[in-house]
Amino acid sequence: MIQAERLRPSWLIASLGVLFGVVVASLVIGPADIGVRAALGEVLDHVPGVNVDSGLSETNAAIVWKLRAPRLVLGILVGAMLSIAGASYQAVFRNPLASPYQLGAAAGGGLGATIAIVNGWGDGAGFFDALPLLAFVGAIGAVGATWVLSNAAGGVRSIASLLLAGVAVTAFLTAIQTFIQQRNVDTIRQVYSWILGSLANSSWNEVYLALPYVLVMTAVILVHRRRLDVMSVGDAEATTLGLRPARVRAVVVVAATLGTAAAVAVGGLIAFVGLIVPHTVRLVAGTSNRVVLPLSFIVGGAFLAGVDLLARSIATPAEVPIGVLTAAIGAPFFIMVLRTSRRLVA
Amino acid sequence: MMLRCVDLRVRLGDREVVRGVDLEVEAGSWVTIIGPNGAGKTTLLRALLDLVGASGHREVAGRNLAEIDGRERARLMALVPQIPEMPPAMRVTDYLLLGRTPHLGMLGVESAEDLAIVGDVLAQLDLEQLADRPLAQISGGERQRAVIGRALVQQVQLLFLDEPTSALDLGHQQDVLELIESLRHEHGLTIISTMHDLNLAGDFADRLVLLADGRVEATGSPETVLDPAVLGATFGTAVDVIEHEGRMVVLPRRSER
Ligand SMILES: Nc1ncnc2c1ncn2[C@@H]1O[C@H](COP(=O)(O)OP(=O)(O)O)[C@@H](O)[C@H]1O
Ligand SMILES: [Mg+2]
Repeated sequence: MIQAERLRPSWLIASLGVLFGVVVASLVIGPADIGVRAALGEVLDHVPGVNVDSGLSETNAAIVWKLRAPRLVLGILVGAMLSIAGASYQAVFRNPLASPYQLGAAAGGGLGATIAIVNGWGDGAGFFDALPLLAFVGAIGAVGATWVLSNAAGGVRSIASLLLAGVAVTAFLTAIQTFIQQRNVDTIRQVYSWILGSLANSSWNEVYLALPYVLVMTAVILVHRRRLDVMSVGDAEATTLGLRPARVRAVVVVAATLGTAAAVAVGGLIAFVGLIVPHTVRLVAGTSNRVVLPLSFIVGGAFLAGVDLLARSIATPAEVPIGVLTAAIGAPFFIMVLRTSRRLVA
Repeated sequence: MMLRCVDLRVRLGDREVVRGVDLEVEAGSWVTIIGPNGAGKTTLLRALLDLVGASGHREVAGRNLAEIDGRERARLMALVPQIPEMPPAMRVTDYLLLGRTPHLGMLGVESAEDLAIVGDVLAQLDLEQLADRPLAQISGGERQRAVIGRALVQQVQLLFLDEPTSALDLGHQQDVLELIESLRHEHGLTIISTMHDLNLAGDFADRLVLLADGRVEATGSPETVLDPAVLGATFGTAVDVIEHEGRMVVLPRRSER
């Protein structure tokens, strides 16, 4: 019997198992001594319609529900979004190294955040806080500028012109960001801490800010998973197969970018996730976007939440910036992937 | 009439590459466009498929091409490109399944029928043993059959083939053209191909269109188009055309030494 390449149930179950393991570990591990049952009980108690007595003291209950749980959920959301967005960019530009950051999302987000920090607007918490909002606006604005510039230069149909426009916009925005940063040396630590990425001090407010974007944009991307497979034969052939490649590219790029902007707004610039996770999934589970997109989402969530657990555990009570850890893990891993993978190079 | 174009013109850069082509292709026939390198054969095919900006009137199956949307076009016409893009890690089966794209719904989920169609084509093209093989791991002749298979899976009426034999050796060239011929009869396909090998072109086409410098220089049966005087002028070299067991054989004449 003929079968299309699809996500095997075993991979789905395995990845969800890993995610669950990270969830439990993140709720339990930390300075306060809280058991697995109590931690899970406390979380379940907050599910509407469920009533569980976790037996935790008020302080420990707050540690689980107000500190660990939102940080965990945010880590999952940011990791899942960065990973599926990276996978989408790689598919749509048929470039294994593509990521939303290349179109200026990181530089724009960085500039927005820097403006907020040096002006003392917002403290990085809350739904309508200036920091995530400006980072969001900056990321979207930068990608929009890239788009416009590329259209003027040669049309977004040309992948090269789009990527080159991204380079130009990134260089320009980074220059402005550096200039502002240097004129405000007193806040330079805060700016760096944001740029290196952090999920510390996150509350449910950040989760509420990011959640709608992550869910909607992920749904949009997943709806296009088969079309992205068709795009792998190039625009001309995809057209003869009844697709409108320019339109698919526009929709997917916008969705991945909006999602990335939301992730950057709440988590800072966390590097490498969008590369490591999709490539690992491709090597292990298959190259069709029907496999890569959903698995990248789940594995990316587990990966970043796991790294964040590491970031807050290895040097307690200090925190290692999560972006430093993802880069430290990511760069050597990535070189290893490149060396061992024939599929990637082919 | 399966396909018709009137005064088709294509500009690429500051050059007009297709310069006022009129063409009529009858349903069920095989028309082959011949001509020197750079004559505009590929560009003409791309223009007929609306893959490149062109002016002029185009009709497919009696309907104005401009009024047919992309999905419907892909259920009417398929292209076998000269150098197809073949994702190396994609399995042969999944590659053929791409041909179902214009038949699928919004979410792109293949039905049992779609899968059955692919199964039939795999069997018909003798690709069954290769069904699970990645495209990077099959031979040139097998790749060509896979691309033709993808086009068949599209279930079109009109099949365009750009130099379908240029990457193949003698035996495989013959195999592929005979395969196309049998598929044409079996599925009632109309074939429009380009070919630079004049002997193969004459062997398989009902009608030849000789293109030179973006214009139609001659059109008609192989016997009329494969004329020494006409070919000599367009290809810029003297040729002899001899008849061998009812087939036309074109032989370039060697220059004097
Ligand atoms: N993108 C392009 N821009 C400018 N000229 C082109 C382009 N593509 C092809 N050409 C030119 O158009 C002419 C016809 O090309 P083509 O249709 O590929 O010829 P053929 O298939 O008959 O060999 C050639 O002279 C070629 O150099
Ligand atoms: Mg050509």
